[in-house]
Amino acid sequence: MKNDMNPNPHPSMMDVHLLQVWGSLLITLLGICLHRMGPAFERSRFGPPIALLGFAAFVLQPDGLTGPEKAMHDTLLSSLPWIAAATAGTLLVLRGAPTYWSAKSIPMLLGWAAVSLAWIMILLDSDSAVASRLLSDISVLPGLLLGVIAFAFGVRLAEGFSGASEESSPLTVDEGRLVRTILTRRLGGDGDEY
Amino acid sequence: MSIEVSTALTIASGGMMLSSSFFAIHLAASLNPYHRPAAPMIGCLASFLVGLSIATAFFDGSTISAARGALSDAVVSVFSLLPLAFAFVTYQLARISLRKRPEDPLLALLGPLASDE
Repeated sequence: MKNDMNPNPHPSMMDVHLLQVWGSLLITLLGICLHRMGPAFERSRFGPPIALLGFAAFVLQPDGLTGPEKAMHDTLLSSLPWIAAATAGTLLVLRGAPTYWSAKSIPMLLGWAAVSLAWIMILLDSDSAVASRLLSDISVLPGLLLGVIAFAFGVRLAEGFSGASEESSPLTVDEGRLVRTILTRRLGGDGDEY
Repeated sequence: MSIEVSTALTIASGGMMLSSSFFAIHLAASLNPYHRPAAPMIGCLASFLVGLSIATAFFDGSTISAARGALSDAVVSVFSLLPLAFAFVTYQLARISLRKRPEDPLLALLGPLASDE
């Protein structure tokens, strides 16, 4: 029972396109992961530009893309308008929502307009084949979940191996003096007395 | 409304490869002195290899072609399912937009005094 979805008719002609497609996806994910490290790590500031570079390289593919990557590229491009509207709408509604019991009506209205626009685009784009594809699309979820479980198992294993850390050594005289000085200054006294 | 088992398995194997490669990239990108990435990386690799072997078993052609096809199909499926996720997000947005301030139990204890103010 072999699956012949997305056959690749010209493998030798696609090397450059392949590199660009998968390379740009890799760079995008790398940028997102770098950004997720947060401000405590200096390299996190390179995340957004790297992700943007990868995303631009993925969207701006030269003509001639074929094979399974063509379907992926087309799907992303066709989904991009509603994803942009949905993202903008969600952020605006969150900003306008009554978090502290005072709603901001203008961001809220704009947000709901963008959310409605996203739904209109989704409904216009959907066709009668959606229901029949839904079952096969849903089968990606157990696959994604298995990957997550394998990663979580690895993390749990690493945490199990690490064990309890040793008791730290007491402060030296100089360190103790420094801590006392800082505390005294913070509490309003004169730190110089130490 | 039925699906072929081979199609479902190909997409599921692509999903496995997709999530495990994402976590592997994340581990590599966020490497720092406080990390112990060996065990999670081995888990990601094992999961990727299992997905790859399933994809290869159900695909005509080389291993690389099988990986490309399964990964592409998984990405397409994830994008096809995004409207479902957005439906949930829209429901939550409606909830927080229509939220009303709950009655404060301390103010309610004051009763008529609070209403006079």
